[in-house]
Amino acid sequence: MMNVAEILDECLARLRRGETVGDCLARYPDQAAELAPMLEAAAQLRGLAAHRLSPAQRLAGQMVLRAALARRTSRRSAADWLFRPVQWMGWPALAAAVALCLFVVLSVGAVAASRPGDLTYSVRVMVERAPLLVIFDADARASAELYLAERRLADVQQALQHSRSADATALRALIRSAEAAAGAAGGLAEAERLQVAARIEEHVTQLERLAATVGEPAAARSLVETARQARAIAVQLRAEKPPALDPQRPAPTETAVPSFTPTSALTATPQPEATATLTPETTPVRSHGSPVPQPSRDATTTRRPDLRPRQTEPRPPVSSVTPLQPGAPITPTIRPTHMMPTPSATRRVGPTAVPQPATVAPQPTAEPPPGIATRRPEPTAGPPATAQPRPTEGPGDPGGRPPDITPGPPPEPRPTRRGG
Amino acid sequence: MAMPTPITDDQVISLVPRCQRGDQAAVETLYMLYADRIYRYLLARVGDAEQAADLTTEVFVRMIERLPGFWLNRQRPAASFSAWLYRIAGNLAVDYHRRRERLEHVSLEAEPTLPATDPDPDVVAEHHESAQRLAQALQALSEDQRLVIIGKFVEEMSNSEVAAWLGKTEGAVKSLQHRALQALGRLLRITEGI
Repeated sequence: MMNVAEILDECLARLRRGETVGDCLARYPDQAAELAPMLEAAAQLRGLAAHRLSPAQRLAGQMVLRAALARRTSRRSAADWLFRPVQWMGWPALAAAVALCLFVVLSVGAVAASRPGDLTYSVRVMVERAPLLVIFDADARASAELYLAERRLADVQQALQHSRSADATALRALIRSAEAAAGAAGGLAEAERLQVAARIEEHVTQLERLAATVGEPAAARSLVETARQARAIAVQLRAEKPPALDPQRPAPTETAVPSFTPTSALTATPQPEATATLTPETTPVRSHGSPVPQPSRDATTTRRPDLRPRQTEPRPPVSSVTPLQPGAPITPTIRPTHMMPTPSATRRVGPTAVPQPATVAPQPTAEPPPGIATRRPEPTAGPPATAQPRPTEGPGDPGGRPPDITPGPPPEPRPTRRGG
Repeated sequence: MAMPTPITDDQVISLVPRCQRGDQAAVETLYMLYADRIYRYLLARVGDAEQAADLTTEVFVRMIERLPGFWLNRQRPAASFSAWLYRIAGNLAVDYHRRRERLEHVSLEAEPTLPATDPDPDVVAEHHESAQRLAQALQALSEDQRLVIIGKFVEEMSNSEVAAWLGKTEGAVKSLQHRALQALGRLLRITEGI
């Protein structure tokens, strides 16, 4: 039994062969009512097959197409350039390249978003250390390592919040960064070294706080152990000796002048009697009527015994002050006219009018007259070592300052300025 | 009525790549092969000979513009290219009807016409009305039903040819043909007032 679709298809074939609609309907009287409208519609549709474009329409169409083709060839559309890689590489190669790019992008994203415990977390830790490969400055390297240590500490906290476990990878990386920071800080100045140690100790504190708050015993043990290691690193860093001074570096004046001590020796062991008695004869300036010994060029040319310690040979203050024993011959030296670098230094040294060789007192300085001596700064108010003449301005230094201001003790010593 | 010459896979495989490279002779050969087919399809869709001719030209202009991005299916080259071309024509027919609907709100002048092959004005008028009703009825079909009707009655293909063209089975083609003619007969009777 044929269904209507098959009967319709057979009727259409008969119509094509030349039968009429009535003939077909007569063949299938039971389906005639249903077939009639369909066959009439088919007859209308068959009329369309006779239609064609006229020659004029065809020619006009061809002209339009030529113009369109000329436009396309004259301006290479963006689509051509877009599909040019396809022509060069072929679709499989292009698909592989796109897949590779996608893989790289997704991998980078997965590594960047990884958290402690993830498979890619170790990769992230390693990748984050990559910038250190191009940091050569010790200070910057120590800072970068401390920054990484803090990131690992944050990772540890994150892992504790999520899984109540201390991630071993993060803890190892933390200790590694702390060690590296300490290693880099070993070559720094003491202040910077101590700063690094302090930051490592901050990490220790945070680790201990986490260990105290975490509920898991295993995690707490790991945190405590890591804190212990970090503390050891910090302690060792604090205990390290400061690095030797670089000879290339300009040495601080304070540390390079050991000759300060004579002053303290002078002030500590005041012998006012000796200085008071000696001063009138010693300073030639005073012989000219000046109440205060005034050094001058003339004075520099006179050879006098020099009690000042030689700057080229730093010695303990005592030895420099007491080379002349009673009765010992005094070796006259050229007066250090150029050795007083600053007025302040000269004030403290005071009237360095040296005792005459005939005098027995080996006092280093000849004190001003009693009236002036009373204005002499007290030992306690004496200038600190920093105010002492610099070695570079020692005796014989041609670049030294003129001596005319050196010996005269000022009426008002200003210890505070010199002490600052 | 002469059956249109079927287009072979070899022709399409030879012509399409040349057209993609901008070969003018290949473009014109493709136009000669497909122009009447596309014209009849568009005539059935829009019911107006002049509009169908203009739209046919527009179909091939779009073909030139889009051919560089066309990927030819090597398994069924003629069928895939033909389907692609008819899809362009179908989109243009839809655009035409949208424009026409907008224009009808403004003017009632537009009257689709079939080619005036008969000098008798009554016959011409009857053709106009018939084409108009057919185009409107075809608008109500699905695209698959429309393509089966075009293949069977405009291109005069056999069931197997239509099946190969559309990538369907012969049974599916018969079923689509039945439903399409059922709908067309109902719609045409309604519009004719029977």
